Amino acid sequence: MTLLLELGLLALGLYLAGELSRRAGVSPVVGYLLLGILLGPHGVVPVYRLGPTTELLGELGLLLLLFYLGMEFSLARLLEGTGPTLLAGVVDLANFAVGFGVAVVLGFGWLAGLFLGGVVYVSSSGVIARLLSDSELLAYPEAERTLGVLVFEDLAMVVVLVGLGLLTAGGGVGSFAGAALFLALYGLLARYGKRLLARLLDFEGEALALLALALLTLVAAGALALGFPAAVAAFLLGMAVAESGHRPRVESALRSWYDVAAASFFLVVGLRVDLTTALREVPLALLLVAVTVVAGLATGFLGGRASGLGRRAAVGHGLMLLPRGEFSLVIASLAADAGALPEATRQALLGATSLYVVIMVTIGSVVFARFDAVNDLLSRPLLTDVERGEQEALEALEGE
Amino acid sequence: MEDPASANGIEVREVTLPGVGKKYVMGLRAGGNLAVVVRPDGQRQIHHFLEHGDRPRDVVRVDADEAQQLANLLGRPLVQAPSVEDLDLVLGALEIDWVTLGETSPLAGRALGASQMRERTGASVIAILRDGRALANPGVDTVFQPGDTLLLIGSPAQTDAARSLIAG
Repeated sequence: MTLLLELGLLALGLYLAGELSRRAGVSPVVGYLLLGILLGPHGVVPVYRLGPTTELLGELGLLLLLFYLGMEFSLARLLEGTGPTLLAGVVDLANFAVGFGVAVVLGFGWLAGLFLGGVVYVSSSGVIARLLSDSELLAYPEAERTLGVLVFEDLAMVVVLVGLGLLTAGGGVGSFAGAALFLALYGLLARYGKRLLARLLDFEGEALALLALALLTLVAAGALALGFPAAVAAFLLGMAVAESGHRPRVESALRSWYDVAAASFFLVVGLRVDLTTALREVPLALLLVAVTVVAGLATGFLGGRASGLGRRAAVGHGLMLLPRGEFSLVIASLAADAGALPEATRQALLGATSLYVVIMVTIGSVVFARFDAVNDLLSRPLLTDVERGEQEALEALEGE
Repeated sequence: MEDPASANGIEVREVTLPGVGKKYVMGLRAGGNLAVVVRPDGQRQIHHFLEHGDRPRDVVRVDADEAQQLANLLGRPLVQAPSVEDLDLVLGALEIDWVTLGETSPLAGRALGASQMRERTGASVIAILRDGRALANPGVDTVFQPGDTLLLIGSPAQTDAARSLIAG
């Protein structure tokens, strides 16, 4: 297959998969992932394979995903989130422990447990933000809390990624020294390099696109050489770019690269899934789904209540946080690269996570489409008589 | 920092919705509140909550241009109607008039001072609209151009005189 044909089929397939997902009312991430699983080397019809084109685009996609997340992330915004949000965010951390616990109980070991904890913990800010803005739920009291907790999760996720990256980098004092060196260089950039970065990116059009791309890939390559996770380096660079004030222009300059490469990343995750192995992991995936739903609703309710939401809104908070997506896949793809894990464990994690994400995104879409009904069903038994009375009065008013 | 807030003692709570936009919540004297969500693409959503309600009773979505029109509708009676009534009471016989300067007007190309508008008619030019911009309180050396719209103030007789002076 020529490179051109390969790229053409890739773009066409991704377009069709994305379009079908949208028609079905789920996130395109599901379509890209399933495309990779079903039409990959181990799939039903082997159309796509892991080759230079797909691997390059996939790797770039991972970097761009984290780079854009970093640009959108802001420490100030997290702190602006005030006490209630932080409190809800801390309660939400319990989901990490739940995922870790499941892995350890099933005998995967603690390292795989850290990966699985991350997979179960991180809600999909992309999927949730889009579901929320497409719905009429934006002004609900729990929407505000949910979006705040997502910012908290993004930060926690970076800590998890750094930790996992260092733990699986092959170990040794050398890799820690390299990582420390990278962080020190980054600290210098963040402290003194703001003007430098601002001047470097003060270009328009193709010059800006080329420079931003060079900066991203070279920083990631440098980080890798020093034994620091490239994905986290991309996130940190994104934060620095946001600080330089060039964020909107850099975002639009790299937008089409982002669209193509991020979609390719999900396809590549799918390509690496062995369908027969993955089907063997259906029980694990279903267990993870069940655990996530139960633990997620419980922590969402507790976190929501602790941060001052009413009972029904607290249940809603748990529901809104349910969708998992891109970042669970990012963590699973890192697990698949982790030499410290046995091959069987890596395949199990990747396969189970892929199925898990497909199911969780679908659950999320269903929940958001019928949010009030699902919320009522779950929260009615939890309400006090007074609250139930109030709601019935309001509903009676509605009916007028 | 709540800029649109508390303009007249009515409190507005501003909340950032990370990645989605901003939310402004205003309590209503009649009970309940209005939440206005502003998205980066300019779309606004107006959610109406009843008292004790944690779900909006109704949601209105408007695009940026519709929001502007809505603001005009809501703002007009507040800004204009009362002030025009007040003006009538205070100014009595005074009239504010708009006149557009034609190509053939004898004033075209002449300065405000040289036109002796005030001396000859009694009316004052308080603003000139030119190319969509307003020049407030033009000075004596401001030169009239064809197409200018002049905002005149004076008694009806004075503004009528000015009108004929401008028409030539």
